[in-house]
Amino acid sequence: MAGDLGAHVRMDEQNTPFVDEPLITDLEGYEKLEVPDIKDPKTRSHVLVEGTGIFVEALGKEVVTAAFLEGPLLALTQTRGAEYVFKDMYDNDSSRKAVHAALETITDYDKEMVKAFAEKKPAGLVWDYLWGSYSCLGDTEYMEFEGQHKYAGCLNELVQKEGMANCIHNCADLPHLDTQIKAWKPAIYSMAYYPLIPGSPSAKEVIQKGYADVSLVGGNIDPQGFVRWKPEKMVDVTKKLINEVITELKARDLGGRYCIASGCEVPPALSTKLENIQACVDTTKQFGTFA
Amino acid sequence: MDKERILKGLEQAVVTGRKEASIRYANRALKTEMPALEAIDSGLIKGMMVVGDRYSARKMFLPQVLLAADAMYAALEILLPHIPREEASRRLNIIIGVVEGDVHDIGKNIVKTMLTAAGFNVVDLGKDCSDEDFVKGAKEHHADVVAMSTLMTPTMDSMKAAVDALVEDGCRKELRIIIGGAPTSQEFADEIGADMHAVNAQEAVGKLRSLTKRPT
Repeated sequence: MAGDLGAHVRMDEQNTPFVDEPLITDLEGYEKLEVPDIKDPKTRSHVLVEGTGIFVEALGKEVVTAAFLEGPLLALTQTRGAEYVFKDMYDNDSSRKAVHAALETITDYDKEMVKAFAEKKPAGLVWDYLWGSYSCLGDTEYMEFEGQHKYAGCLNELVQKEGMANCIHNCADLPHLDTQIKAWKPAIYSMAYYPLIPGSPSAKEVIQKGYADVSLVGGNIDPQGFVRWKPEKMVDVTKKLINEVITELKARDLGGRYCIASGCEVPPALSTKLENIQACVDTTKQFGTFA
Repeated sequence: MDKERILKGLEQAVVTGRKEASIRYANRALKTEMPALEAIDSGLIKGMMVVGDRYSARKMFLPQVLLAADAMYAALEILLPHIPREEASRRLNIIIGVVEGDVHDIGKNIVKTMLTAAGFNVVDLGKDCSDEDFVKGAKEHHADVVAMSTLMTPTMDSMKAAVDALVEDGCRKELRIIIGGAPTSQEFADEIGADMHAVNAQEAVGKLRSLTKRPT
């Protein structure tokens, strides 16, 4: 999204694409943002929508398909630079107003993308709402700059209105689970786990605190494991997670509402081992069901 | 204006993230011939420690921390040139940067801020730093410590490449290397030949405080 708004996106061959030249360099830049023409074949938005269509057509009958879209605050931080956006939020009244003006524009852009994706009929749409993290924003800050109805609230509703399952991905260390799961009730919630960071919620805690009662929670496997581990370790880690999840799900008499998956994207690098993905999937198929 | 009022003013300017106020109090400190080091330690750093504690306790969040850091740096720019040279040379020199292929620098900036507040001489190499940037930076700034950060899994290999480059150059043996960032761990630090890993800024400060400057 940041690229189509005007920022420069660098696409290294074996890395996640990232913005290396933000578009907004001053407060006026926030106000100048415009929703791009997503039907223009030169835009990445158009490519994403069309690519989703191809994917759905090819695999929609075999697997659950979903579009993927950045929430307004993530798209803005990529367009301006996160540090500047965070400072502008509270530096003064003008800067705060400018941030909101930009968020409103990007929300309109997100709405157009949701409608375009809906025409391709994926089963769901996944929002990347990663700034909903207590290591970045508190409840008050998150609610003002993304959580409120005129931003994420109305976008979540639009996804459902357009006939897709509303899903959320947040690979932050300390996610806002009360807002993003209990309040928004997404169909699927994908999250990561950081064992070294105090307070980072494990699968066990997530289930114990009732979040998996509301949504199908998934994730938890360390993405770097797909690169660095041997398949035997991937099998061990997956088994351990399955045992943890099954024990807690049984304790809550839920049936099965947890998806064993990578906590974030499987690294797009040649060093990622296909056999590790296979090991995770096969282990889950073998041990991941219970009566 | 009395000394206590200036120091309190500096502290509060940092805690509330008011850059104009921190500049004003820093200038007043110098005007009243207060030692710059006292203004830094008992004003700015005291304020930044309050910010660090509140951030750890989740009573303050990134926007406020970043504004506080700006206020601290603005005053430091005024006060640092007035620190006696021998005092500055007693402090550990640290270069810090985000490794090649990664532009996520908020975590690195928080660590830099807290290391600065803890009294280290910190030189920021920025983000997307190549192996050569770390080698060149270490030599140019007579680094005692090289601090590297990455938020992304695909760029963890860049950390290893930077450590290898420091080894290959020969300057590694003069340095301590500390790494950080969400996907990293002490296990990974051991694997790539770094000395230390820190989970967050406070831990980085704690680990580096235990180091002493090598004799020159």
